[in-house]
Amino acid sequence: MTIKRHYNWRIWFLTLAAAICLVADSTLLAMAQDKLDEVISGFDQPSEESGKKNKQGLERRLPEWLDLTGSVGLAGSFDLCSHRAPPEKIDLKGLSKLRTEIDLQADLKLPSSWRARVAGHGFYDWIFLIRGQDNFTNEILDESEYEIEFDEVYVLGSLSESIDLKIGRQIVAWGTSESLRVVDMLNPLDQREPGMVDIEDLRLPVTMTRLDYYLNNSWSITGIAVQEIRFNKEPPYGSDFYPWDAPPPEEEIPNPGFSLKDQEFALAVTGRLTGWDVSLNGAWLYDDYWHLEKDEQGSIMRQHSRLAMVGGTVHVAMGNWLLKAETAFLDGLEYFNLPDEKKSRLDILAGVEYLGFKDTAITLEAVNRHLFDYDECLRNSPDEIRENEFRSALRITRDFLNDTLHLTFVGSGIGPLCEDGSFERAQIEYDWSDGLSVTLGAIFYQGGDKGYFDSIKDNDRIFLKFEYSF
Amino acid sequence: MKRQIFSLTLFGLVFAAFLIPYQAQAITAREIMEKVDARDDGDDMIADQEMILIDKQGYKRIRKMKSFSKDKGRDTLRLIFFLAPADVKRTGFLTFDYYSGDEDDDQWLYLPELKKIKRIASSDKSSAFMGSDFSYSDMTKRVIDEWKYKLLKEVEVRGKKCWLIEAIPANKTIEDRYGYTKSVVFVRQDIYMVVRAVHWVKDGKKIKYFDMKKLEQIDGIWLGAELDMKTTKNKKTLHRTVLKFKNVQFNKKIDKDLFSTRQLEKGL
Repeated sequence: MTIKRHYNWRIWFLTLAAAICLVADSTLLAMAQDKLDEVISGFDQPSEESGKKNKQGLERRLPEWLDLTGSVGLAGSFDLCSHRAPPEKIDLKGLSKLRTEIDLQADLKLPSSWRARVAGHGFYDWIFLIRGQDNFTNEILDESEYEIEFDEVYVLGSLSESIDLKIGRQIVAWGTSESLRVVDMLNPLDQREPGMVDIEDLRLPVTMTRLDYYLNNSWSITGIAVQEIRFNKEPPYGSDFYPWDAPPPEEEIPNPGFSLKDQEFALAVTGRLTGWDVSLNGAWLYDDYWHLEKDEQGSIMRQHSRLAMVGGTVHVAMGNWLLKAETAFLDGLEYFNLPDEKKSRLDILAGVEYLGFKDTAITLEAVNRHLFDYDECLRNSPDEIRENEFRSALRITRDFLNDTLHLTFVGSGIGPLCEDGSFERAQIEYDWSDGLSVTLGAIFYQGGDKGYFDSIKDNDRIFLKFEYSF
Repeated sequence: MKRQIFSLTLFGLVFAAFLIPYQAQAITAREIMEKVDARDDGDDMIADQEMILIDKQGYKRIRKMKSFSKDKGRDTLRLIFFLAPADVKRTGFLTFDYYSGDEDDDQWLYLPELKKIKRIASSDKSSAFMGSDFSYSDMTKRVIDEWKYKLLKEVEVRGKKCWLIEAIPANKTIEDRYGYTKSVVFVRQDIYMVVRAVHWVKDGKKIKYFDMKKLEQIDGIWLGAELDMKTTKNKKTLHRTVLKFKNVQFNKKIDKDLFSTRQLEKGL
């Protein structure tokens, strides 16, 4: 009887508990249901797609075989400080650039799946008219007042299922690094405004014959012969980025034409594999950076060493991290202070890119260039070379407002603590519409133990650019 | 004895009432999602895509793309070329989308301005795809095992019966990777397609609404021909993206060599 009573009591308890659970559950369910219904009612908004003003660019009507793109822009710079100027000339403090720019690119589809590209750019800098051409050196007027130049001009096609040929003026960007160069030596750079030219406009195209042989979808072999020898574009005498008080000596530029003797040659084996990329690179080329040398008549000339380079790159993706490594061994480097010697150098780069923050990329790269058989006299001007040259670069980009606002920060320094000089550039770009963008930014330079950076430390400036792409 | 029988009956009724909403379902949420996953969506696909980005003032920006995709077992190879606007034209995007969540996708970007193929680290899929309201995770198939499902109720969407299913990330890593704390998906019962979804965004107290505005059957395969994704906060639309598929071709036996960095660099 006692057991039965106890049993009855348990049943009543369980029934009551279940009833409470049911009521509570129903209440919670009803509340959750109300909330869910409220949320899913968000679908019933009227369509906004048929909305308002279009921000797209102009529609073009061109034949199927021709694709024409380009941009026009207006770029201005404002120098914040006074700096040294050649005798009887003015410096560029204040408004230092007011440049109208145009870029044009035509892509043509040719028979048998071949294609061609003709691209070029031009600019005119109104600042020299505004501030008086007589106030500037002939060198800066020649180099910076206006420019019209062909960029990429090439034909590209397949010789067989596994061989591609590309002939003409082109850019070949080797390596994994974005801001520092180790194996990426085939194209010279535009260094007229160091730190101001971003990576997309930095490399200068040269005329090459390039053959790619694809072993499969992962591995390829690339052979290149460079028929046009072209070196870095440098600040002209009179520019605030030109570091000396006198014009530079003549520069000797080989003109190889069809002669194999002066052409540059390069070879690469590239693998694109699951989770990582790898390449082995080799080249026989001219140094894009000059050294001073006395010629047979005793005149000082700017000469470019003939270099042999072997190197390699690795790119490994691990989660949100991208690890980069590059190395190159260079032989044949020449210097003014050691006129009868040729030196070797080992460059090693390590880098990391992190993409774990939303719409953000952070890239940190560092390179050490070690000169073998070092002589202390190389510390002296004009060489100013150390046994170990360390350089680092940090790049941060972030997109906001659904990719309409782009923030970029780039900083780079020479020396482990940037004691030899550095610069930082920050810019913000807003896409006003699909075609029109506005960029506003500032760049700051710090001098250091290296003569060059010390001479440009007062070149801080703010810049603004309007660009319409079509 | 009568009292005992009455008590047991009452308990049974209460317990049954408690269970009825769940036991009455003949099919589980997981089974439905498995059928969604197993649905024939075509092995190979070529399509023109138009992505319309609409800001809260109603201003529109348009991205045009040509896309190719190919199934390789459970994995998907995908190649996208951007055709417009001018500032992203010729940009190419190659993805080897591995179904297994344990393996990171292989992704390469060809940036015409840099003339360079760049590998992308891709573990985080919550970032916006080309500034749209679609994230990279929205553009790929979800891994079934990475989510816990619960069947909520049946609803009608545009006159068609749908299951309403709640999907919760299986753990914090998955939540971080997809960027959603919860999703509620509407699965059409006749064709096992997700035609609507609500995603609770992990950061910023935002809610995203996915709506398949237009469905088409091409060569027997159902395709969402117009997809709408809007991002809202406190019931206000912050931004909206309409993705339209045009000139869609299925099962054209695309050569696997197309999905290579060689093609990425050469362009269309």
